[in-house]
Amino acid sequence: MRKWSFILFCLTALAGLIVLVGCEGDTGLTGGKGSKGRRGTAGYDPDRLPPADRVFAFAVTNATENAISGKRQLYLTFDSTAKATKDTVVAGRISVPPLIDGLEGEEDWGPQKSKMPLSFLNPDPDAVDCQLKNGIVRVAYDDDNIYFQFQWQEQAVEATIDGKKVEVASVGESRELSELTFKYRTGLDTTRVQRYSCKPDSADFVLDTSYTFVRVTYNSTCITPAEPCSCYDLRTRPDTSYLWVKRTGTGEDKVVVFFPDEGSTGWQDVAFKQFFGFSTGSSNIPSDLFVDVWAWGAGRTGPVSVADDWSISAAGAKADAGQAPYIDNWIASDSLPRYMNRRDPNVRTSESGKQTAAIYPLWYFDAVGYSRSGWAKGTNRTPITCSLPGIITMIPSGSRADVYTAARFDNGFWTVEMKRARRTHNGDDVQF
Amino acid sequence: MKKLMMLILSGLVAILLLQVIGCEGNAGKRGTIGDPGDPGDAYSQPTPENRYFALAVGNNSAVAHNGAPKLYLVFDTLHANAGDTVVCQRLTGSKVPEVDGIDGGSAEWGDKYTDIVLRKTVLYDNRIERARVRAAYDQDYIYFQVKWTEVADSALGLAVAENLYPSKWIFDSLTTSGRKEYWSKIVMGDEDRVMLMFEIKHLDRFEHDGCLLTCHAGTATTLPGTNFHSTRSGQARMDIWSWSSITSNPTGYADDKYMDGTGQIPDASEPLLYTDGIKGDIGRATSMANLYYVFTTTAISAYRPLYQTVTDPDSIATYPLWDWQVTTYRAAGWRKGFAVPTFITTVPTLSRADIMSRGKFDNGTWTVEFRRLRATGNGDDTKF
Repeated sequence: MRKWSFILFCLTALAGLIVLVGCEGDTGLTGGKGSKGRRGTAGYDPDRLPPADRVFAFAVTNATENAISGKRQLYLTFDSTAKATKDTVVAGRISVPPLIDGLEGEEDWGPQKSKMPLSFLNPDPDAVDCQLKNGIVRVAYDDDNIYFQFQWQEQAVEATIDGKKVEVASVGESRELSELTFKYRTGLDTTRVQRYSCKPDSADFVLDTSYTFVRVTYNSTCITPAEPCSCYDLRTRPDTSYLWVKRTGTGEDKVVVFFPDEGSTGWQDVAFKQFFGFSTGSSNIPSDLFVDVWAWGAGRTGPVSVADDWSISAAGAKADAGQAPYIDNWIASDSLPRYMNRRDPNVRTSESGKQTAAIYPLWYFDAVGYSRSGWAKGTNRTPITCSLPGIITMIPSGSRADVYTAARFDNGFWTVEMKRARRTHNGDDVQF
Repeated sequence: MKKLMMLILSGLVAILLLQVIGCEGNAGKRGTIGDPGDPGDAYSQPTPENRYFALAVGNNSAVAHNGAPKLYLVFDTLHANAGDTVVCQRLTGSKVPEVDGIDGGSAEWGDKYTDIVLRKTVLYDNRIERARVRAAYDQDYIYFQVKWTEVADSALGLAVAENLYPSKWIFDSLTTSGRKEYWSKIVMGDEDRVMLMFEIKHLDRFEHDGCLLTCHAGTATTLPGTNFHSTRSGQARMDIWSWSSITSNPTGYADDKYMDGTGQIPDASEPLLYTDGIKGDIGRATSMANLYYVFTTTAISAYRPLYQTVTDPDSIATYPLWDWQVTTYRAAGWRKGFAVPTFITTVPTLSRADIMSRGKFDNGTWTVEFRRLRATGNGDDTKF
């Protein structure tokens, strides 16, 4: 037994010794060189991938500034398998771009169109619904551009205001935005005019438009509303100028499209309030809000075939960089136009035979500085109304002219078509 | 013997033990990484498809422009530049043709050009029988150069000249022929012109008859004023690049137009005489008619300039007269024989300004060059 134990001990010791002092095996050979990688896939232009789905909204008006109808939210999808509904617009990929001419052009826009009722979107209590209806939206895109077509129908609307029936909307093109008029008459009865201020937001401000020719004195110290400005009695002032006022009911038809950078709840309320100047609703703007705005107007932008390109951010509504397609032709503090036609005075007056003269669009190269001389005179019994355009048409430029637009009005229906580059490379635009 | 067996058994057990618990040798070193694969092809615009197009050249006359109604524009290497085939070469590197109306030759345009035979396409022959056409393209743009030499023919009233004064208003008197002021429009010519025409949406038989399908519909003896340029269906649409020596050249653009079959519109300069299916692309044109007219079915009560120069009414009419140089016409101070231009030069915008173009007249030869984006994204433009 001892012998076996000894042998076992020797074997164990031998094994331990071998483990401790035995040599490791040889290192294997270096592996061969790997095979060549596969050829890379063909490059692609990321701009040419279908755009990402997004939401948008649009608003239309009938000769008003902010009585808007439209859709608070539409879902725009580039998935061609989706079906167009009243809430979903399906963009079709096209090989031949549609002609931007304001004509229906069925064949150019792909097979799908979204038909929808239009809702009244102005929350202000005194806003009157123009009852615009039968909205249709179509969208198409290709590698480089995106195209929109909007259609809607106008109708005549009457409302009872202060017990009287008043026409609040009529069917027409409404291209003559903010027409400025005055009536020149002799023997002005100034006793009915109480006071007039050059500061419209003053508590003392009284604008009496029962007479559109009144005596005012231009006060050069009252340039901005923020400056203190005394009101004065017109009856004590010399006649130095005329008072021009915007003729009521001379708004324009327009369509405004809103594209939020990222869909978030309630962005429409902020965007609509900022752009249309609603009196109600919260004035708080989320710090991360960004909404691209394309605003086509029959008077403001129609003559130059663009939509006015704006954006809304925490800083409020702001025009994109570049020249606007129009400038306002009215100095509110003085109730005076800035410019008139080279052929003025009296291109359009109510004098017999001259009523139909076209005064819109007044291009910048046809405009000269306003002069008070030579306007047609009437009498108290037969006053003469003279007119000037409320805007001067300019050539837009820069990012403000990104959106090509053409429109036609036909038998109560507007068709407005827009085209924009999917990537404008302007920070004030959303990219598709 | 037994002891020996024990030793051998111990040795075997030891070897077995070594096999079980002995260390393996280290693995060999990893081989070197294989070479990377070849890179994939970089993205590039697809090569444009071969297509037909048309060319017309005018020498100061609306009733005589010669042309090639059907030319073949090829972008591949299978066709030779000869006959009616124009090879559009792909430009390599960063060098592109300068659109300046100066022929930079093969260094600018590549080595291929085609001398096109022109023929009479309307009432009269302007005797211009050949035009040299070059074409090139790159990733984003396509370029054309058209070069022709004018021919004098006193019998036809053709002169070799840079025609920059096609027409003018001449004042006659303040009361003539029942109008308040009487102005005559004197037409001396029609500028020098070159037009390129391409299909936007298919024109039936364009590949056979070219632009003859659309111009001067009817017979070769059709008179001006009865022409009705139009495509033969509402859907068919043709792109027209219209360069002219004075209504477009000063702006650096060709006038970008299109033609379709959706209806006739009055000519801007002669609305009482001409209508056709040619429409301007969306945007502002390179010029506007200096025309004011009022007419009824029985009489013309006004037919005169809309604008005058700021130094009128005693200046000499010259072209180009830019929009910023004019003021509205006033009927005062004019004397018999005073003149005013019949159109005003304007800076074009939007799709109407897609085609950069410049022409130069040198010793009887016009060289006109064009550049346009291959894809403008406008429905009123063809896509290459």
